[in-house]
Amino acid sequence: MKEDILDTLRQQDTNLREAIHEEEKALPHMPADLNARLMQRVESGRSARKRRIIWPWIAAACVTALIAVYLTPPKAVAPQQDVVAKVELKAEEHVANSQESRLSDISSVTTIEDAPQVTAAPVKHKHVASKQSDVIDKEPLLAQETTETDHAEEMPIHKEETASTTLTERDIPITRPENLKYTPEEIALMKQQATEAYLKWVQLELEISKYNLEQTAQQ
Amino acid sequence: MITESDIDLIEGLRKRHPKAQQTTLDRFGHDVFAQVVRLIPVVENAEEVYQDVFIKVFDNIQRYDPNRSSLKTWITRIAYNEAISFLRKKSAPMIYFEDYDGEALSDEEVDETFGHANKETVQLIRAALKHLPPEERALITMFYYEEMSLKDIAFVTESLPTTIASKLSRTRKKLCRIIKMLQS
Repeated sequence: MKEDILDTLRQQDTNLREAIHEEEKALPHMPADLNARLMQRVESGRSARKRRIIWPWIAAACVTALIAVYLTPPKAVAPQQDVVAKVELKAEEHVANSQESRLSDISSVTTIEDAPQVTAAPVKHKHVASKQSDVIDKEPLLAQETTETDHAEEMPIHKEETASTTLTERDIPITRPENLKYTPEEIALMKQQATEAYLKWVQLELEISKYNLEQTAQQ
Repeated sequence: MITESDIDLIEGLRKRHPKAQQTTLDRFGHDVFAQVVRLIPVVENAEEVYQDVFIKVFDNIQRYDPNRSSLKTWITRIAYNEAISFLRKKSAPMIYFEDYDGEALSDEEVDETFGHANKETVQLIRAALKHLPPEERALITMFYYEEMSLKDIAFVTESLPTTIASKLSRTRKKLCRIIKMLQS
């Protein structure tokens, strides 16, 4: 209703319409290059938008790389391997100590003081770990010769020796690549020591036999 | 309301085709610039607002709803809002003629002032238009010059058609009062 009235007025108000037309004609004209400038701005905005799309990915990749570098431990230090090395070292020390103590027990059990004692071959420390399995195999045989009281005496000693020392992987001989194989010199030395040990064992057996014969003769 | 060429144009704008953007500028650029410069007489400022209007049109074309208005009306709305917000933010505050409770003008007197063709009155009306606030001047221009419907004007100014009708009546009487003031 009101729109109809206004439409009628629009037609009637000739003075007003003419005045507005003249005002519109007097307005400044649009510059000819305005649209070209606008299109240039749109193009630059488009390339900026493309750049905006790419840079978050680059930033994310950089952050990921930094996190990876930060969280990866250096090659020289391996904390988890340290723990393993520590545990293995204790076991190794335990075996070595028990071996030494048992050997000393054997020597105490034997009544012949002059008889040559069977001792562990003086292999370097690094060889002990490599021969760990051999030592463990020998243990039951040695255990038969030792008494239970001797074991009871051993326990406090082992407890004292378990005072931990932090070692790196490099301190475990078995993990050293150079120790994975015996050198020719080491093989020759081992043969020589084995021969010496065998000779000493034969001498000991002879002494025992001699002693037994004397005892039998006395009886 | 919406023509077939408009549909193609909108599709092109949505795909950000430079050709569609150029066509939009060619088709609506002059009207938009006229609308902006009507509210912002300084050409440099009008150019800045004009560019902002079309950047906004290209960026927000996805939000255009063909069921609510034609493309031209939608662009006019953006231009109107950009120009008004520019005036509010950057333009120095201006003092315009305001209605006062003086002598009431009869409808006949107003009709006579605007109706009977008279060169002198036309010049007086032009002078009077300069005393109107930008929003009211834009309203009068949209109705009398661009011959937009009340519904479209309401869409552009984010108002109601009835409110626009009331504002038009009031502005018409206000103009007449300014003319009387200028004559006296």
